[in-house]
Amino acid sequence: MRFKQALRQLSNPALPSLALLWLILLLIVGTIAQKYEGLYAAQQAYFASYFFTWGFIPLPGAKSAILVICLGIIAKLSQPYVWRWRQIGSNITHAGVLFLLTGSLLIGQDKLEGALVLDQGQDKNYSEDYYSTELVLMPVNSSNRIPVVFRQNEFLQANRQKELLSSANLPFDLQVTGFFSNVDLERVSSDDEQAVSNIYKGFAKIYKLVAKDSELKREENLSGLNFAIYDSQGQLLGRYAIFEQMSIIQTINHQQKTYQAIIRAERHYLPFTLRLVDFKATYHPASQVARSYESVVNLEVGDIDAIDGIDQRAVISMNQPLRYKDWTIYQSAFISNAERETSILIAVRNSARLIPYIGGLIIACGLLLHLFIRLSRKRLSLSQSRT
Amino acid sequence: MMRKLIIIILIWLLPLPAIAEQDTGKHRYDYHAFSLLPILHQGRIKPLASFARLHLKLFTHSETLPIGSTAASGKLTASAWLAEAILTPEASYQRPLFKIRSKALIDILSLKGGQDNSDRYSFYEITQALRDNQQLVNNLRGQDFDQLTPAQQELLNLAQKTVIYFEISRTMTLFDPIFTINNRAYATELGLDVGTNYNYLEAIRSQPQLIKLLQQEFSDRQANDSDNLVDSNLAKLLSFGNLLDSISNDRNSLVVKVLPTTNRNDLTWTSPWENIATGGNPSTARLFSMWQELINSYNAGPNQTWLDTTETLLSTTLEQADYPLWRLELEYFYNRAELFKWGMLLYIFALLLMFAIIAYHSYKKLPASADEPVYKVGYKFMTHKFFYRLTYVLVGSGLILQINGIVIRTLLLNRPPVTNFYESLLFVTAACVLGGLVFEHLKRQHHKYRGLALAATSGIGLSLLSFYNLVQEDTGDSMQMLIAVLNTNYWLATHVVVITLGYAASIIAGLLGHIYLGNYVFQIHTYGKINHGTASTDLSNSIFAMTLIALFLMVFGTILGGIWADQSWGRFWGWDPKENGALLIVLWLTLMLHSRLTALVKKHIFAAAAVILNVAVALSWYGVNLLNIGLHSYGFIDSGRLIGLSAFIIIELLFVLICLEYGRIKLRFSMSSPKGHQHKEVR
Repeated sequence: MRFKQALRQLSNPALPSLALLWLILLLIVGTIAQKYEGLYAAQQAYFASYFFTWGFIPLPGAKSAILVICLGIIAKLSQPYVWRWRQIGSNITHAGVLFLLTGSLLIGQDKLEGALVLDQGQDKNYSEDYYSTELVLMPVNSSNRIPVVFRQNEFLQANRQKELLSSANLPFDLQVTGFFSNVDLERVSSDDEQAVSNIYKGFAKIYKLVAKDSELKREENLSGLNFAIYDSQGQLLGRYAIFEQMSIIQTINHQQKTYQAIIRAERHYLPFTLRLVDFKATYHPASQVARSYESVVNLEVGDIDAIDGIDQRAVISMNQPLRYKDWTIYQSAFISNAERETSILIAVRNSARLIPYIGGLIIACGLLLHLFIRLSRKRLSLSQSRT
Repeated sequence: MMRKLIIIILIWLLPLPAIAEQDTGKHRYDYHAFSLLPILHQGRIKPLASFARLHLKLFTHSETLPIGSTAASGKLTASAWLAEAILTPEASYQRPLFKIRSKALIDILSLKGGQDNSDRYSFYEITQALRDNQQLVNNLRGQDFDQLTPAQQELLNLAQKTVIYFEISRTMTLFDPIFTINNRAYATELGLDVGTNYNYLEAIRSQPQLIKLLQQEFSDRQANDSDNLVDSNLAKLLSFGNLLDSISNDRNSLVVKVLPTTNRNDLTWTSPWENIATGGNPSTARLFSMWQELINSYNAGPNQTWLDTTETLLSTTLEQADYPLWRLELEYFYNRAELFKWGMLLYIFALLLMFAIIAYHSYKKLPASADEPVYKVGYKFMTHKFFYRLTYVLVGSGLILQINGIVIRTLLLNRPPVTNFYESLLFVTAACVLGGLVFEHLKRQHHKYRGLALAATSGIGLSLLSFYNLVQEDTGDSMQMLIAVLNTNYWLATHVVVITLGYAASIIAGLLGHIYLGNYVFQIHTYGKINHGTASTDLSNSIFAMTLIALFLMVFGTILGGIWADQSWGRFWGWDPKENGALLIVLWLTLMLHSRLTALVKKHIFAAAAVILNVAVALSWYGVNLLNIGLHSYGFIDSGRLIGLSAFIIIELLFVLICLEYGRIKLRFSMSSPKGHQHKEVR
């Protein structure tokens, strides 16, 4: 009884309307913020969040507003009085909206996107995340060459909780003491403690990482990391500093073993290997406007010599991506210079791909039906008034 | 039937005065065939006239070039200007051409008034001034363009324009007969005739002999220990060599690609210089001699030879390229007819006619009905049968011209009607005017609103087309080729067309909202009663229906866009600014409809929301372009128009606020009168 009452309360259009209005405001503010905070940062803050803070005031994000709207639709559709023939179009439309929103909220979460930057002839079986990084410790002189990887989420969480990162494959523990999404380097003066103390190792002995304002484009940022390593007794062994694309790789020596410490874009390993066979850019004649650019690739799955192996030649061009299972690989950009041609492909995994198609179809059918019913009712009332 | 036929013929004849446009310069060459000569430029084959208009506009901000300081001196058409520039470059360098708008730049370059006291300067004047300021130009080139002052930016643009102009002007220099040898001995050595004028192509053949001859002359003089190493004969021979060197620098003149290949599908057309650099081919030799002949006949003055040569050149080029003449003629007609400007003019006439009738009859206070407000008096006459039909014809004619323009563009470019912002302006205007006419036709029996939709329609047609002209002014070529991601006619014809129709439907709903609100203010009677009669309810229903149609189109268009994004980028939705813009309209329409259906708002608030819908459309259609970010940034334009957009938003919001507040105050004031309490609002 109480549940029914609550549903009736929720079916009141005032609250979803308010949520709709809030969503409109967020959309305007978030879109403008994309210009100043960067596309991804603004998207995360306003559209992909349940709550965000404005100054110190917590405010509902787009997901909360969508949730309220979904609840409103469910409550409305649960009311028996809405199930009349003349409202069937409207109901179908609302059901379509509900399907689209909830589907995107629930299933759309596992979307994965990364770039494959391939030179002609090169192959890769991973894409690189556009926003997230990872810390890699690669054994150099060991028979076991499996790298130990800590993802950005992982080491940031450990950093927040002041915990040590450890792995069975590592003879030491590790603590991240600072992460910078964009860094500048500052030379340490010779009398500085960092230069004198033996606890600072390698690059950290000479340079300090200094936080720098993030650029709006991810590729213009260089992430940096300060970390310390400890032995199993909790004894501090050394402090290190690394940043993306270091020309000399930082090494860690411990118990006659050497590890390379690297921070790089997070890698998403793909269920296939992609080899760039050829890249072609064609322009409209007598102009600098690209008419098309396309990558000829080889998609290789498993052992290509085995019966179940796949070695498939495909062409990826604008509006013509390559699809393999849940993955879509599309042509994003290219770098062309005298030395070589580099193709930038984006690999996206989207297991909720069909939801918008189905949702869109339901909404379009519902709206058409609603328009049709309205028009025929109007025609009927007109003919009645004439008679 | 006959009357209708006459009206239709008259409409079709409207653009004729524009076609009759002729250059009124001293030389009356017939440039028709010259204008139609095909050229490969920016990815497509177009008539030389289009190329000329585009570049003349770039240099002078005008599609014709005044000859003197007064209008009586006449003007050159773009084709006439181009003919002079490429056929007699040295003469064209003295003609005032480059228009400088910035007073600060004129000061920087220390330019005095142009030759004809205008703000246009000749190539010689500009290059001299740029040479004097070479250091400054070099410094500015090393800086971030966006950080420069407007005058500095214009300076760099001007320098770039002179480079483009010079490149165009040097196109045919290889045909200029400017090489002469007067010394018999030298002429014999070089294998040339004494005193004969040779062009570069002929003179360059003697280059090996020339080098040998010069070496011989110098070594002889050095051996003889002559005091006079270079006498006048040798100086002339040296200048012959220098001229050869200097003209061969023009080999970088590549932009005027008028020499076709023999294969229709092969668009590697070349400029004359490019052609000789690539070795040339026998088929172009014929065209070479024709261009040579063209220069000679141009120098000989306007006569039959010029006409014959241009016509032969045109037919030969088309034959070689296997290209249809009708396409060139159609584009030539399109450019000269200026259908959109004529359409705009007709909308202005329609609007002015309505204003004039209202003003005239309001002034005369006819019919003499004391208690009728002034606007109603004029309004009655506005709907007078003759004027009403005349306005209909004017707006309809404007629409026909506009549709013609859109169809011609579609035919010329071989692609759907909307592919960029400028085309969306044209398409949305046509859709709005068509929608307005249909609405007017449906409501023609409703005397209360008769004519209002026509007025509003012509108003919106006028404003959007004016905006189109403004935007096109900045862009130059509005018929550019499409970038790779847009090279798909299927999605352009579906997603883009449906979305732009959604914009049009939203704008019509907004217009009806304006009419409703305007009427709402006048409908509050002195006794505090809002007389929402059947007409008012009818209008509100129309807004509702239009909102529903707009929602359907916007939702359908957005879904199609999502499918396109999924097909191309592997994701349906990415919160890209352009996507957010479309979603903004969808959400606002949804909010409007739900508020109305659930009686959350009254009719006048619903109408106010329809007015604000126009703001949402402006933000989505135009506003997000100003951000210049995201995957859709290919459709973007320069970001210097924020003030215009802000002004539009403020005016719309003020309109809503004033109407609602004025209505509220009027209602409260009248309600406070003793009689007012007896009335209730009728909804």
